[in-house]
Amino acid sequence: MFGLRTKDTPAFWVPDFIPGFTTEDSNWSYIGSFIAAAGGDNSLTNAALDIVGEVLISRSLVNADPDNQEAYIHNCTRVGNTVTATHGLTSGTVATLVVVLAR
Amino acid sequence: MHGITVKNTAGHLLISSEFEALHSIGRCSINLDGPPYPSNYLTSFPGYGGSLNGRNWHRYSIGTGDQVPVFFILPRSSSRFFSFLNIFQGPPRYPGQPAVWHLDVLVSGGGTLHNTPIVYAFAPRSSLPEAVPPTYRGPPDYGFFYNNMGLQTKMADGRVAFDSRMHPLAITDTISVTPPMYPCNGGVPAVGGGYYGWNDTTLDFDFNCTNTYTQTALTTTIPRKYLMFSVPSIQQAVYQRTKLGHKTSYTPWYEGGGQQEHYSNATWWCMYRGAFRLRQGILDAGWNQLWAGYHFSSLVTDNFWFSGGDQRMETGTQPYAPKTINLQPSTVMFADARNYMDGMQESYYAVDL
Repeated sequence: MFGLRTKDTPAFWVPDFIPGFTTEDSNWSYIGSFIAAAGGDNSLTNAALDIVGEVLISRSLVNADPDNQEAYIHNCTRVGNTVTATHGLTSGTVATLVVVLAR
Repeated sequence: MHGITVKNTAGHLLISSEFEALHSIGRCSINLDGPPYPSNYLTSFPGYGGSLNGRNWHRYSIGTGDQVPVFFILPRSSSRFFSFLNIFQGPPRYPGQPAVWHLDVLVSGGGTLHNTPIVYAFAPRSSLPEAVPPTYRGPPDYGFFYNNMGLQTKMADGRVAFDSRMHPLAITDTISVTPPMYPCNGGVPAVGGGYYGWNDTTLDFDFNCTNTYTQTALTTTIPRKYLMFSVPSIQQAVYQRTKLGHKTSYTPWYEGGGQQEHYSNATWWCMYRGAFRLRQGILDAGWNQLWAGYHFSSLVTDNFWFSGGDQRMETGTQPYAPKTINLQPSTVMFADARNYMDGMQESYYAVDL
């Protein structure tokens, strides 16, 4: 059994309150995020991606009017310690927020 | 090489001086800048009526500066679908304050403001304004104090990577889910498909999306009432039902004879966004209705020349030809809301579900 647990002042009003952070509960870490503009490409490079086992990439619409538009998000790939968002004819027509998780 | 690395029993890297953990900013305020009136709820086809299972549109806000926060929803209903519609940055509320980020959330079942979820926001410690103190957790008679104990790690450039006082986000689980291809309960509506009676405006298709979802079993041990999730609603769809109407009428010979052709076009359309519902031990990936519209036109021709009788109505503009786009898996992140509740009131929000 190993990991890290930190304690916090108990919030007495919350039943079953879990005081503090523990790596027993945590499974994924946030590496970073970036925005790829509509019609453009962007990327994130982080050395941490070289030392993790798994990477998850989550994409969502950002700064995009959800009103009547045919909104295609960017395609994303990871090569080594870089995550890249690219656009094409049917991708990246709106700004895309890319969140990178790893563990 | 220096710094800190913490792994859990499974060997997953969880804290490192190589990257910044997310920390709690707090609970977002709802509708502070007003709902996007008049479209904050949808219950029927505008200009036509009928009924849709509908949606409510809520706007949440929090000030965090330029860093895009990560939002988590704590649902207060196990029957509603939620969509993370859009994240966007607005100006500060007051000069000198950090920029405000907004999250627009759709909640299925329009017409009421009930079942609004609680939304928490997280961002790297270095992006938080210094004015944001560690969340106060003590009982009221302790007075207002800041906790000076805990663990803090820094990156090589001095940025704080992890600060236990700021309630770092523990992502407990992730799953990947995709809604079904077609959002409508009725499947794929026909566009045209032969002629109906002239001026036939009876909707014969079920545009609701209450039965179209995929189910994924969850393995988490967090009680449902404290389980919060974050998932982008990237999937979009538009579907359309069109009924073409026609009849021929004849003028009696004693009135001069001749014939007239009568044509009509009744079209209903609905736009959808990916949506997610959290039940006990199950996450459903389905759809929410975003917009709907109705078009009707009718005309009479006399020997193929227009001769009056024209009627036309249009509510909204159909966004694009019927199809589903961005039908790709969405990553769902889960966390335990108990770690981030910052007020007594919230224990009442987290009702048994």
